[in-house]
Amino acid sequence: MLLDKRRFKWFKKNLVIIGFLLPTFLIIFVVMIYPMLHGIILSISRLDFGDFTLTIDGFSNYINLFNSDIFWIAFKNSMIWTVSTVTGQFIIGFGAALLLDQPIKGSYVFRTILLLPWAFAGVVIGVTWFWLYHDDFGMLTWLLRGLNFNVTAVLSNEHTAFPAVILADIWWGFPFVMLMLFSGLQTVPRTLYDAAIVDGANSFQIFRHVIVPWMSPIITIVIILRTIWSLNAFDLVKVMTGGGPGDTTEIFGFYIYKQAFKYFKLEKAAAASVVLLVIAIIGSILYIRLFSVRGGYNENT
Amino acid sequence: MRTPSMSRRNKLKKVITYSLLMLLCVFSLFPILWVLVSSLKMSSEIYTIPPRWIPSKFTLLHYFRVITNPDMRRAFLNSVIISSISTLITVFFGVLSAYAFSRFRFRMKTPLYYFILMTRMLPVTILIIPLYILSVRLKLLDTFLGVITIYTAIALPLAVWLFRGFFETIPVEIEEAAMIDGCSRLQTLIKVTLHLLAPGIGAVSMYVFLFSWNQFLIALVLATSPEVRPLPVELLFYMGEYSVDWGPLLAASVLMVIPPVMFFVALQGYFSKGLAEGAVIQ
Repeated sequence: MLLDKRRFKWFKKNLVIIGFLLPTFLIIFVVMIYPMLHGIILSISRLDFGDFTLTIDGFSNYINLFNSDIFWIAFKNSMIWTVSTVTGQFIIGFGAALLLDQPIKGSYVFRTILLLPWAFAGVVIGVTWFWLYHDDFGMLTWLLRGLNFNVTAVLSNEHTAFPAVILADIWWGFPFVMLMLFSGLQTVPRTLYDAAIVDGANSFQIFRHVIVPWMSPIITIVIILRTIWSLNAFDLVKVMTGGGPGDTTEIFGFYIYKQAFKYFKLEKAAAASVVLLVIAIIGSILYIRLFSVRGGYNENT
Repeated sequence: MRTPSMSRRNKLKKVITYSLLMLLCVFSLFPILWVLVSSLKMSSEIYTIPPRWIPSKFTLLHYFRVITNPDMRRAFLNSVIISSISTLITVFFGVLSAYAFSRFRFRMKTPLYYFILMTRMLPVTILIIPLYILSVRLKLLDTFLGVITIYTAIALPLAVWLFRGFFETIPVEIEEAAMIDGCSRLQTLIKVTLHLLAPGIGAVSMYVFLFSWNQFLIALVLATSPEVRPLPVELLFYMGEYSVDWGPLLAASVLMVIPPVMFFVALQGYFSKGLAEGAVIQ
C-alpha cells in the first residue's frame, strides 16, 4: 500500500517533468536528430527520385566526393574562410568589447550602433556589400580607388572576390563576439581589478593576467560557436558571388547547396554534409568539455 | 608631480578610446548609410560615376514601388506569419523546458541538458537535404506547417539555454514563499515566476523572431512558392541573372531590416543581460 502510494507519487511528480520536457525533445528529435540520421544513411545510399526511397549502396558517394576536385577546393576555401572570418571577428569584437567596458559617456549609443550589423539578414548583408563593391557605382570601390588601390570589379576578380566576401562576413559577425565578450567583461569582479592595480599592474598586465583567465570559458564558447557557423556559411556567397569567379569563393555551405539543389546530386551532397558533421561533432565535444569545466569553476567561487 | 602626468595619461587614454570607438562606428555605419542613401535616390542618381553621398533630390519612389508590389506584400505577410508563430511556440516550449531544467531535480538531467546544448551546434547545412526529402515525402514542402516546425526546432535549444539563464536569476525563495501561501506549482509558475521572467521572455522572443525573420537557406529550399515564401527569398527576385533592379532592391532591403532594428534598439539592454547570464551561469 505504502509502496504503491510512493510509486504513484513518483510517477505523478515525474509526469510534470515529462510534460514540461516532452514537446521540446519531440520537436528536436523530429526536426534535427531523425533528419541527421537520415542524412547519414542517405550518404551511403542511392536515392530514387520517383518516390524518394533509399537503397543502401556502400561508400560510392564518398569515393565520388573525395575524387571531386571542387570538393577539395571548397574544403580548402572553407578552412581559409573560417580561420580568417573568426580571427577578424574575434579581434574586432574583443577590441570593441574592451573599449565599451571603459568608463565612457554614451556607452549605450555606441553599443547600439556597433550591434546594428547583427540585426541584419544575411541576404540583406549580401545585397549591401554587393552594392558597396559595385564596379561603377559602389562607394567602397571608389573609396579604395581614392586610396590608390587599383581595383576593378572586386567581386568578379579572382584575387579580390574572396577577401571581399570575408570582409562582409567579419562585418556581420563581429557584433555577436562583442556582445558576448562585453557581457562577460561585466562579470569580472571589480575586486580583481583593484587587487591588480594595488599590485602595480599596467593595463596590458591586467588584460593578460586578470581579464583573459577570467574570460577564458566564454572566449572559448564564442570561438567555437563562430567557427561552426563560419564552416556553414551560405548566405553571403549565394547572394554576392554564387561561388565564383571560377571556384574562388566556393565554400562548404554553398557547395552542399549547389550539389544538392542545382545538380540534384543529393547523395553526394549528403556525404559532404556528413564530413561537415564530423567536424561539428569534434567541436561539440570541445563545447561540452568546456561547460563541464565551467561548472567546476562556479563551485569554486 | 604625479597627478598631472597621471591625468594627462588618462586624457590620452580617453582620446584614444573615443577615436577607436568612432572608427568602429564608421566601419559599422558606412555600409548601412550607403544603402539607405542610395535607396532614397532617383534612379538616374543611383547610377552616377563617381557615386555621391548626397543626391540633389531625395525620393521615396522606390519604397512606393516595393510596397505596391503584390508579391512583396505577400512575402511580408508570410514572413510575419512564419516568424511570429514560430516565436510563440518556441517561447512556450522553451519556458517549460528551461523551468524543468532549472527547478526540478531528476535523473539524467545533466546529460539531457547537454544534449539540448549540443543540438544547438547542429548546422542547418547538414539538415537541409534530409529535411527536403522528408518534406517531399510528408507533403510539407511549401507549407507554413513545415517551415514553422523547422524554425521552431532550430531556435528551441538557444531559447532553453537563455531561459534557463533567466530562471537562475530568479530566487527560488520567492516561489517557495508563494507555495507556502498555498499556490500550487503551476499557479506559482504562472502568477509569480512568469511575471518575474517577463523581460527575459521579451529578449528571447526578439532573438527567435530575428532568427526566423532572417533565416534564408531553409526558406530558399523549402518555401519557394509565392504563397509561403518569406522576404529573404522574395528579395532575390529583384536580382536578375544579368541585371539588378537596384532601386527597389535597396528599398526592400531597408524595409526588411526595420523590424529587427527596432526590436534591437528597444530590447538591447535586456538581451545582453540575458546572454551574459545564460553564458556565465549556463
